[in-house]
Amino acid sequence: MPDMEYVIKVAAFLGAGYAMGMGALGPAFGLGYTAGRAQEGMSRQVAQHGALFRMMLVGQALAETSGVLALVVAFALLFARGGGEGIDKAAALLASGFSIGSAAVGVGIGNGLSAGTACASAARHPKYFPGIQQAMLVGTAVSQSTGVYAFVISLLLIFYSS
Amino acid sequence: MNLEAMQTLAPQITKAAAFLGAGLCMGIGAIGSAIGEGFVAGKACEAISRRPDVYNDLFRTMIVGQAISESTGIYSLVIAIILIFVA
Repeated sequence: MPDMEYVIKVAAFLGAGYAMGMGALGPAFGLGYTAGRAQEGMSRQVAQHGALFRMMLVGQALAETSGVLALVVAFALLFARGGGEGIDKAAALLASGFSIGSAAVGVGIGNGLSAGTACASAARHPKYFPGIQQAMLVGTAVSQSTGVYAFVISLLLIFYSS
Repeated sequence: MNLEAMQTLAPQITKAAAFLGAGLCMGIGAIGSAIGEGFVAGKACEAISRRPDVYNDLFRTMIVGQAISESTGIYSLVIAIILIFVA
């Protein structure tokens, strides 16, 4: 029977690695997709370069959020695991990383799809820029909510399980 | 491992399984729902750029569609909370 302290450490490290690894995968795809679609739009509307660039940055900042949440959970798993011993604590730490890591994949890709398509649409009709931007912001915020749920569950798993 | 040790460990293992299940449930449940919502928002932007005169209808449809797509994420959240606090 190994010492429980080490089992908990192993679980926390594995969880942190999964959280940040997967938490990088989704948002990175989303950011790249947004930038790509924005480029497409800029090539179509060269005069609107500045406005499209701003929209791209706002969309990317939103798509990045789930990656930052994954980073926070990974840091919490590494440095602030809370108390508690036993196999249940180890499982909770592993599950915490799994929760935010997997969720970040979906949220990053979803937000990237939304922001990228918004950039491409704004380039098609620059006149309707404000409406498109509003729809993008609201749509992305709603899509973000599942990431926030996963973040809450991750924090509960870390700190309630002690 | 003898029977007594297993009996003392059983509650811990049950809790461990519940926690793992909660993490898996919320993590995987969020993937599909978030991708779906992002897809809806993107397509709504595209539609607004094409027909801005029906902006309000398109916006409302986007919100309703996203809310429905959100429901599976909320089911995951509920099940995860039940697994953490009740099981």
